[in-house]
Amino acid sequence: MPQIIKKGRVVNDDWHIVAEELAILDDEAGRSSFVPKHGDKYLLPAPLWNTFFPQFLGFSTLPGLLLDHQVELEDINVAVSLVPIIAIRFSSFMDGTGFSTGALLRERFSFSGELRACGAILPDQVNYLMRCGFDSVAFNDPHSVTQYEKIQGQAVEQPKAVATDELINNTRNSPRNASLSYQGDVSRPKTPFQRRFGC
Amino acid sequence: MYQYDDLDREVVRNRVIQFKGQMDRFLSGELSEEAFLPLRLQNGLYVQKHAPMLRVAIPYGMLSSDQLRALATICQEYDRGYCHITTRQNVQFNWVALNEVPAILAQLERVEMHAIQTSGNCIRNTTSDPLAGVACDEVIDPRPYCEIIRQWSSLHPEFAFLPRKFKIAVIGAEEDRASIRLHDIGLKVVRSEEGELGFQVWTGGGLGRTPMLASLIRNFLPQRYLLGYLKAILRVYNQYGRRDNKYKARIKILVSALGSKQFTAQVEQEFERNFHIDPQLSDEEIGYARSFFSSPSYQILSDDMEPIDQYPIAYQQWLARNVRPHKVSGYRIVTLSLKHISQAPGDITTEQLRHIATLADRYSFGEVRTTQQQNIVLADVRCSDLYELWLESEPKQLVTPTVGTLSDTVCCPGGDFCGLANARSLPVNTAIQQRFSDLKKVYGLGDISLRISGCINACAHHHIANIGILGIDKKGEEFYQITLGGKTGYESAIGKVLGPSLPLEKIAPAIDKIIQVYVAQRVDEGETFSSTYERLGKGPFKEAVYATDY
Ligand code: SF4
Repeated sequence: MPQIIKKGRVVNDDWHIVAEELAILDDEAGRSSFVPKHGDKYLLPAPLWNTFFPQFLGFSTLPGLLLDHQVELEDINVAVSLVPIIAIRFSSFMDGTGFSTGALLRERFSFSGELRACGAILPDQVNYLMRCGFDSVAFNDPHSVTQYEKIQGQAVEQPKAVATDELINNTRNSPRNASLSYQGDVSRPKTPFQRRFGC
Repeated sequence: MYQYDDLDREVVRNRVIQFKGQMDRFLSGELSEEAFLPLRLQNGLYVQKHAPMLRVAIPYGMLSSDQLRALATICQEYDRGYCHITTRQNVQFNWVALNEVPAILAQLERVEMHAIQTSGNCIRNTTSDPLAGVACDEVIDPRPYCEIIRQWSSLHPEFAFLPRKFKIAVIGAEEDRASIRLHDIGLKVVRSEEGELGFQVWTGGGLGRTPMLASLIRNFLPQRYLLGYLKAILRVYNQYGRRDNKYKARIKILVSALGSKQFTAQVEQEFERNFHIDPQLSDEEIGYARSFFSSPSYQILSDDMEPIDQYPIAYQQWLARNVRPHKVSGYRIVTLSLKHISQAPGDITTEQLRHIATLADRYSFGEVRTTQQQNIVLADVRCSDLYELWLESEPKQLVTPTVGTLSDTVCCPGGDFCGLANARSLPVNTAIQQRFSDLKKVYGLGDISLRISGCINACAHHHIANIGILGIDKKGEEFYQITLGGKTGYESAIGKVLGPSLPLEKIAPAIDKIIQVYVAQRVDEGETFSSTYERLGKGPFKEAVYATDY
């Protein structure tokens, strides 16, 4: 079973992606070679989702949506409201469109299911993805999982960030409940100076 | 000046630790070169011709004397005794060793500095008016907003992998000393008729291969919506900006492809949709940001200067060229020039950095600013200290009295250092300056801007110079294209190409001819080069440059 990163931890995952080619291969009787099995978890590319959705009625798990990172969300908003999981596929780690696509799904479409990033993603990008509203990341490169764990390990070993004398010298500037970023995240956005000064 | 609090310190420290990890993984082969590229660029690290180059952020150009000293130490310990002030108010180290970069970042961190997002396809250092807070024509100090934008854009999770680099500039005065219309987003702080503070928002400016001036997309944006509106612009760009062609990836191409009206409509729609989600800036927050930029404790002084004819001519020239009026009586704004003939424009040595730190402490409340023209400004000098300051700066070659003249060249490092260059820029400048070594001749030309870029990336912003020079590669040989008529300040314009490109040895003579045409044709000595060019068009200049012997 492939491993993914979910909520900061490495876990096994059983959602599998149904390739577009496979699903549109019709046999002579006009039936697709793709026949969903009860209990299996599928991620369907957006065009297939509409076609196959009826076959899942009565199943306990509906198929998830697999989206290209540049998808126009307005076109698929019905599906978005029904699916338990949406996976956004990144074609290259240099292409950050998916960061906005994810944030939009949370903000504008109030998507509350699992949001996954998959494809060409660097382990160094996982934290940004999480802050954009993603819950899980499935890397193309299996080594990335180990790298991610290593990075997390480094983060844990960080030295204490603030020396005591600095704290004493900066009573005016001591943050209150400030989390470790200027922007917060998609679920709890903030302005940079929010809660950082007494007034 | 802004002082870090614990959050700022933690954010920077985390990035330093993270980058060290990334560097270790790269050096041990765990991280491929391809994957390391965007990560190192987002931390200002380029791989250059001779050595890696590290670009350090100077937020909106503000530096304290302690920071200057830290830069000096880095120059001395990790570089070759000098660094370079860029046209975006940053500092570049051209000779650092790759494996020493984490140590340099740790040094910077101690003085509240970093290299975060000084390159790469992300939101870059916000630039501003180097005279912010002291200029006579200022409506409101833009720096509190710059600081808010600096924080908001630092390690923003959604906008770290944009189609291309993204630059924001903010001004609060009538004269545009930050060239906001050349930026991806340019903001001008204005007051509404009701007295409310807000911004004029310009978008889609940029230089490079397709120079464009930004379009006005919002005439008044109340200040509390600033971050929501920036997010809307960035989001539209992140979704629809082109990624298939590096030369068409800047937001200017999206704005011009959609038309500024359509682009604006998309931004406004995005902004409205998120109106209720995005937290707004409260007056208290803005007030808090502003508290860092309150006026220093000025003395009450008379504005009268003693007669200057008793002083050396060089001092008088310096007063005329490098010293500007200040909004507070009895104070002046001084430009320390980095254009001494013995140094490349914008280069600054360890010794000069330390010396400027001392001068800042003694004469200007311990702060300096870097400028787009690659000089250093001491913003708050008492009139009565000017002569002392001049005397003390002179031996360090910081008083070249040529600010705003043809000799105040803005020049990128070019082919001598930069891996992207098509041609060298420094020898071009040297050749031109040799022809204009007579100060009287230079002064006779009045205000005139000369900018030289070594390639189409246009780091020296040659498009907005009255006289711009661009290095190009013609079958492996260095050639140069001249543009005339660019300007920035009260009005912005992009220069037009004069004619076919010329080899290095013909550039200085060509500039000489252009100047001769100007001097011969100007209505009187008060008519600037820019006005003469506008009146005459390029015809006579072109004729002179390309006449028979060319
Ligand atoms: S303009 Fe070109 S040559 Fe000059 S510094 Fe920029 S990239 Fe390098």
